[in-house]
Amino acid sequence: MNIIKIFQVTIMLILTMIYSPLYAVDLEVTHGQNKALPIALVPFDGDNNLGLSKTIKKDLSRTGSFKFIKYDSNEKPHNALQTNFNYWRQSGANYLIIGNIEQQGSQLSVHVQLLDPVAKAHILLSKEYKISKDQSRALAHHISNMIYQQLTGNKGIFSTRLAYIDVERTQKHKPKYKLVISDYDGTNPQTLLVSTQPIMSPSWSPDGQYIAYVSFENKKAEIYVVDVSTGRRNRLTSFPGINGAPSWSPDGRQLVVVLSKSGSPNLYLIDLNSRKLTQLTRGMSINTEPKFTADGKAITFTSNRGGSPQIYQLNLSNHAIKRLTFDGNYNASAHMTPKQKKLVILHRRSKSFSIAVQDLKSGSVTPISFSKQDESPSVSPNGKMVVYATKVNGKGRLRISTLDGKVNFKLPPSYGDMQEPAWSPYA
Amino acid sequence: MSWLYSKALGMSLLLHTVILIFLLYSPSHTAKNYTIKKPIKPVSTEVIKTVAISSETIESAINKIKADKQRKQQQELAKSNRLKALAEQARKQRILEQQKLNKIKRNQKKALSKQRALLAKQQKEQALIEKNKQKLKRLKARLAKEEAEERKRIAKLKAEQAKQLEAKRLEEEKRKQEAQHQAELKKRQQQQLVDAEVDRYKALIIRAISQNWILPPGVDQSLSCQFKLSLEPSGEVKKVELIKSSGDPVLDRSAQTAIYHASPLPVPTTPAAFNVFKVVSLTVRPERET
Repeated sequence: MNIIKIFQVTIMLILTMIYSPLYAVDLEVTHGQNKALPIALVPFDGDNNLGLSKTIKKDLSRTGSFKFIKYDSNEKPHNALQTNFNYWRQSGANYLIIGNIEQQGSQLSVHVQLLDPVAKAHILLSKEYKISKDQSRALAHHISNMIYQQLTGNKGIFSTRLAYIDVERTQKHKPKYKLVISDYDGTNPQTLLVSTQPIMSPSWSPDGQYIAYVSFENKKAEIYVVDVSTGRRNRLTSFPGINGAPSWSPDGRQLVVVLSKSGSPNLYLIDLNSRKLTQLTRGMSINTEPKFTADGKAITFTSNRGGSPQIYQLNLSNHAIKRLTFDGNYNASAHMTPKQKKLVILHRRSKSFSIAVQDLKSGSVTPISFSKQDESPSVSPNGKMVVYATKVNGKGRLRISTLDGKVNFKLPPSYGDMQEPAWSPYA
Repeated sequence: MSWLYSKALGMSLLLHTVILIFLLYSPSHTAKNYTIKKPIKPVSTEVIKTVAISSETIESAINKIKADKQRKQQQELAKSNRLKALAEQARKQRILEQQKLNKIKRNQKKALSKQRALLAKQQKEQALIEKNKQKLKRLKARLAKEEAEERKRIAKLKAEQAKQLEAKRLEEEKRKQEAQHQAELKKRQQQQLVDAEVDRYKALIIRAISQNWILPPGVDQSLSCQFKLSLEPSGEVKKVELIKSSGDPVLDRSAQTAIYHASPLPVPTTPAAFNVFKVVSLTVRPERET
């Protein structure tokens, strides 16, 4: 142990010596600019009606991390060889995205490059893809992911999906409850389930293969698990009273659910193999909206045990419970970021409900939405964005905000009420 | 030397011992004389007794006496002769003895004188040696003294010389120091000017790069990276080398881009101040979270 430590220290010293030659001037820069990275995207050659470059541009702008600069329309390189680096160096763009698409029937050959005109290593990425035409949007998201990761170091969420409940109400017919899956940006919605009885609380399994949800199809609340690719379903719980708010453990082996079989709503763990139940909370207060933390070691939940709804955290190793929120008299629907540094909550301030971000270290709460009727926040797997439901003219709509609140955009509306969005994992 | 003396001394000691033994065992003179004197004592007292006796008888007596006398005389004579001879023999013996004694004495004397002479000679030699020794000693002492004095003198001379040299050196040094001091003062004044300029441009460079550095969102504040910049006198960044990566390529690249974007960097125009900026180390360490 000690030898290892000495060895480490020695290595450190040697490294320090190697890396710290003496210079006449030793400067240190500690303050930078807190602004979006200026980049440029030249629409890909041959992308007239495919919208590939447009999707990439949209994806990247929605993160709030990039600012697309204007450039001389005479400069339209489509590969690195054509690129006038002197011009782009002066253009103010730190990075340049270019590409070209060749169509052969329904087949596309897509070549994309990410260039760094400022530094000497010009080509950061150069990729070529052969796809069918109907995959162009998926490819655009894939390219966005690569560029995003290259430029920010974070994984992109452009290929992830959303699950949400869409309720169609017409005067003639009974309401239709649908479980819908769409791309992260709300495009390409696919209905997975339809029911005349309410469907609620969709929750993704960590591998993205299954969704647990609550269904009233038997005139009572029951928890089901549906296979996303086949639509095959399995009933998980059907206890008397409430069977609600399922949420998967990060290892996919357990679900935490809310059951009221013994009176008031309490949290239970269900082992998916053995179906064994473990009660986590007791008492007469309401305990609901449980969610595993990313490390699987704790569960956050909403409880009125202190008088008003607040967020608590239950430590799974010793079942100790601590309160996390203290700002205001209504905090609910908590979702912790993957790095477990921030807590996204539904927060009431004066009479409006908004999505807010609480810094877990400082405890400071910052609202990031302002429409007064927001609810059901769900954090993206990279922890950079949150999708939530809101009301527009009395109708449920979905919006996405970056966690810093700088970018906020709406998702394409459906005919019905869009509710309870759940952001999928990367898979 | 000493073994020689000791040899001579030994010889003399041996000789003396021999003489002494000789003297002790030789026959004593007094004893000899005594034996010689003894036979001289008995001579004539018989003559008086013969006067009162008859003629015939007297005759006969006279004859007898005469014969007796004659015999006695003869006896006497013989005795005397014998005595004389004895005496003579004794005398001769005595003379012989005397001669012998004399001879011995002479010999003794001779040996003694010889011994004395030898001794004297030896003493003389001894004295000479002693004298020489003393002389040598004195000479040596004198030499040593002289030498010591010489040494002392030389040492004194040397010390004086050293003192002089030291004084000279000190003076030289003082002059040098003074000159150096003056030069340093001048240099320092210049350096101060240069330093002030360098400091000013350091701040300007940091500001220029800071203004161009776009913080990567959510960058880890415990990270830092280090670059080596080579600058042209125009401030143009000739070369950017990443010498210590932060481990986060996005942070490294954001800093590198900032450096290139800030080029040309503000650099001093005076060559002395610019020289400092030819090669610059730049550490980029995000302190503010986005």
